[in-house]
Amino acid sequence: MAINPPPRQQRALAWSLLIAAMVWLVPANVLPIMAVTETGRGKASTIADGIWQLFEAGMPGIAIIVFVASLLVPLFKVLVLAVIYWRAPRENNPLTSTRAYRLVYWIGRWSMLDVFVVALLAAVVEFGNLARVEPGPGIIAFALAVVLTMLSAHAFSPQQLWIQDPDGADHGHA
Amino acid sequence: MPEQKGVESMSADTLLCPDCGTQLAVPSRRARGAWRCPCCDSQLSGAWTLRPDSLLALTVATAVLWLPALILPLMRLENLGLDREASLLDCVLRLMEGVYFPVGVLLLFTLVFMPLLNLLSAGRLLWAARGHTPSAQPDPFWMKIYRQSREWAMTDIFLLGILIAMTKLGDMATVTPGPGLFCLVVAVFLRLIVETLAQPDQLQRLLEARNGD
Repeated sequence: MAINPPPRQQRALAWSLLIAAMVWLVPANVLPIMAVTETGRGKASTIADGIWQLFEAGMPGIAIIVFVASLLVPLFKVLVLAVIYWRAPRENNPLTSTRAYRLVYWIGRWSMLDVFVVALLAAVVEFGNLARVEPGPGIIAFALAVVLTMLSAHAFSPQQLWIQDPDGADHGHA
Repeated sequence: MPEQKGVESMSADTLLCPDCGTQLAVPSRRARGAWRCPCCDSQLSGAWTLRPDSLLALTVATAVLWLPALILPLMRLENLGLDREASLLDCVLRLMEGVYFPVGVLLLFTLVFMPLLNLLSAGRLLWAARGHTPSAQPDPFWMKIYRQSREWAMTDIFLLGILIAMTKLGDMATVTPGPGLFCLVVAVFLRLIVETLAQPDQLQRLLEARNGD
């Protein structure tokens, strides 16, 4: 049977990784994730720009998938995890928190979708000055935010939601 | 359910819920569906009987498709008389150029390295479950690799990414699916079947039961 670290130690690591993910989410959404050059003219686009372009191109279904995976899920994940970690020392509704944790854990990896789309577009659209897709700095920040959020969820064991933590007064602060 | 923790099988007859820590006896009745924790409603395990022979065959079929899925073109793009193809490996290498090297490494990890480890660990554990290894003792190393690789292998998400990229490129150029895409779709589909049916805790219990015989 695997032995988990003490709850307080788990929460400290989980908080650290989550805060780092929150920090990286800012440049991930502000900086361009890719730049498209067509007939010599370049246009950089952020995650939100890409979603809007899909809507304008008449592809609302795909736009909604990208919106959910790339914008909604990363923000939802960090907020839900923060609430779970905060409540963990004195959790009075462990069932709801465990269910929320499981949901966040399951959907987390799907946020990598945008990173894969950019990689694919950059690899296949390479026609010199005619048409070219270059990755933007936002993609590094976005990938880091996704991975850090996943690692944060890994660092936390929901078992601690079901036990009374004697040193719970710290409310999860490192 | 958190994959890295999994259902911790204390013995072939006992389960420990990874989410709430409740200890449960393994139900004796085999059925369809899954066992769920009565305390936290976590899905503990599949209730079906594991068939290592069939699952190993599917794993070998996935392994055969894996190399062409990596190196054959996923799609072909034609624009104003020019054309270009890209494979999964090209996507990884493209991002490994210059300052985007860390993202390229992440792609290498999630699209090449972890799926490969997933295949190897599934094959190793299923082979052991058939009773072909001298000691059928569950190998903690391969079990851990199998648990982790199920989450960090992201070829299924990459497939959705291909669909979105093809839709985006539809306006810009003519897009034709390549043979690599076919291999990747089938490989991912087979991998999902194996992963759904061969859940780590089930494999571990089967190996423990074999060892106890």
